[in-house]
Amino acid sequence: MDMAPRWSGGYGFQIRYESYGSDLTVNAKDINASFFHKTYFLEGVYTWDRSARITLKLPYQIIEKRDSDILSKNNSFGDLIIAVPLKKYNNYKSYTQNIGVTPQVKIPLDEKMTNVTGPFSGGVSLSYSSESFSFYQLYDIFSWFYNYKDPLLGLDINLGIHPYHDNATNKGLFVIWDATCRWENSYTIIQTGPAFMLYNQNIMMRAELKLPAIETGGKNKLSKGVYMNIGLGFVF
Amino acid sequence: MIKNSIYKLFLPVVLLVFINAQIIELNNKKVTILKDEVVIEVRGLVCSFCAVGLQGGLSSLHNVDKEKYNNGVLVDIEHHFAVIAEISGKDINIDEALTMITKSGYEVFTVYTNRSGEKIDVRNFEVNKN
Repeated sequence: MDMAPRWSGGYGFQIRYESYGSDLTVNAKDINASFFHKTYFLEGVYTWDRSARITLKLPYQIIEKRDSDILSKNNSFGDLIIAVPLKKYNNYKSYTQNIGVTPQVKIPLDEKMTNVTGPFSGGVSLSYSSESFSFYQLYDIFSWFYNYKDPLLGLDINLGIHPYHDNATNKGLFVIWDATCRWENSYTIIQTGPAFMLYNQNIMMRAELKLPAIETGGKNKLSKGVYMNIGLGFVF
Repeated sequence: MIKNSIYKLFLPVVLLVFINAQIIELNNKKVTILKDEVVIEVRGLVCSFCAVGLQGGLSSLHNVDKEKYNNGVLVDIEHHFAVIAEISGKDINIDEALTMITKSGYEVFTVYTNRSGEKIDVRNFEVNKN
């Protein structure tokens, strides 16, 4: 799960696709506008030892906006996100757990996007996760600080069961309930939905679909709509 | 007739395996310790995706019989142990295996060997049995 690769010198990469957007407001009104955001991520991780690793996320995003009859489309690299997860593991007889602190920065790569995201953003997250053979849980509270707008506060919760695993082939399936909360100055969203993680030896695929359970903002604020995420990862 | 032939062929093989094997109970599972295998109980060995690193590390040790299991190693995450198959008559270096497990992010609980084929040797390590 989030713990791999935990071995010294382990590394991995993931390709991921994420999309969200809607043509309705948070109050489900049609205001003749829309916003759709699709992002392809290339992500990498390197583990020095189980307590220290570095991760990189390089997004390529496609943003489609419509305001009345004015359409705009922007394809560009998003902000490069570099994080250094620091974890303290505890192994017990039948389960393992870790607490983590992750400082992270966003570095804009595209001048066009610098105007949107600002020159620099920093964040930090605090996490706890534990895993037994049958059950997995993750709690991650995080914040991003921007120099052009109010900070964002977030909470991710993953609760999963492990209905299938084959020791001989190291294949299996996790079924996870995923909830994500985001609080900004004038916008709040809680999205929730199922996630499925299939693995086969060192290959992992995760798919998730989340709907906004609670979404509040200004009366003309567009909803984020259905959130979809599919990733394929490899560790070595 | 055919049934008799099968018995004649396989019975000595089955007996030979059990003469050289001892059985223990490990986290509610009966585990057979064969003469050419090392069984290591590992604390916190529950993460399937992480088991890949452990498997890869242990497979790289000298004298591992890569024809057996997954490149010579079976990781049981439900009962928290790993089995390392040795090439017949050649032992792996157990201290190297323990170092490899630590580098893989885990700690060792107990090591079981059956070098003589008649008696299980047990090495315990100082850890909390939570």
